[in-house]
Amino acid sequence: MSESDELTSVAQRAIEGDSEALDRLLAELGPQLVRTVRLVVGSGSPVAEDAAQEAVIDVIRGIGRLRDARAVRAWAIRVATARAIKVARRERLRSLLFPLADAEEFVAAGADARLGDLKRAFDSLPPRMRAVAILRLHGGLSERETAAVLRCSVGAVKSQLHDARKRLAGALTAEGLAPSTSHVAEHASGP
Amino acid sequence: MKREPSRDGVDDEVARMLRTFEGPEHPAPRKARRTWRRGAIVIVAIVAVAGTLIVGTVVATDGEGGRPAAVAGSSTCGSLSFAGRRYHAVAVGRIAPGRRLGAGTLACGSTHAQVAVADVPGVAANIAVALPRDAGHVYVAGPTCSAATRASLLACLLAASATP
Repeated sequence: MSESDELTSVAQRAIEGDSEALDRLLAELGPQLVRTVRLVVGSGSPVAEDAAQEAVIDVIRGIGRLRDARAVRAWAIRVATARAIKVARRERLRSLLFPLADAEEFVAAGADARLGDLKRAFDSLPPRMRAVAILRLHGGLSERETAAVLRCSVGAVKSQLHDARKRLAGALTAEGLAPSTSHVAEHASGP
Repeated sequence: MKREPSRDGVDDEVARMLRTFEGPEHPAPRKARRTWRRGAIVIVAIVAVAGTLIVGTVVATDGEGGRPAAVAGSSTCGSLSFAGRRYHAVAVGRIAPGRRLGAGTLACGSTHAQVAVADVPGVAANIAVALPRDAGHVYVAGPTCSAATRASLLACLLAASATP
């Protein structure tokens, strides 16, 4: 049985109420859901961690209504991303009305100053734009899959990602930060 | 002259940044929240008072009102894992569990059991949940409301849920 067939089989049992199957399903899908939500809301903030757990709870509560077990991965990512965008939008508004006295600065292992600057620029993008970039560049979803998750057109996905790239490229050049030299060399050769 | 990064260069940098900041597989444990501005504290206090009047959950006291509920309710059968987080049991007079959320794993010493998990009306599930089979405890994530007495625990959980 292929990995995808295995997942479908587990999902079908979870849909039917098998709690052990649901545990296995969450073990398989959970990491991607948690990381996606965390990145959309803003990695390092406690709100992101709460949102990640809320997204998992959304999946647990909604699994019984899923009609097609084969679509479980896309469905779960859609549920989690919807939650993440909702929380991220609320946080953007909240931070305007009630800024924290001193915001928590998250430092990931292996991060250098340049990545920290890029992260700050990324976190300032609108939530939906962040979601598109995360699903395409981190989650490895295709344009069509991303459009299905976000319930929008492929054109909208392309447009959002294009805008995200422009803004982030602007942030990279404004900081005087060129991409890694290996990438520059790879693209330096002209026609 | 500053050279604009190529599209693939930007994509690679962004992907690298996202991988660096993606964090662990499970949500981090709850921590105590930082202080908020005065306006938010006033709003939270109003919601907490309104919440205790509106929610029909009975929390009885038994003369231990002065002791933190977490101390009064300590138990070896009190560690719950649900949706990627750990919760610990805190004694209350009596709780009326709300909507069913799913199943969790309850640890009692060295044994583990699958148990149904429900929400506590008005309280966010990532702060506290209840077990239909255990009306005498709420299960709280992290140190939230650890200093609350048995009488004030529910109000504290409601206020914590209202905090943005």
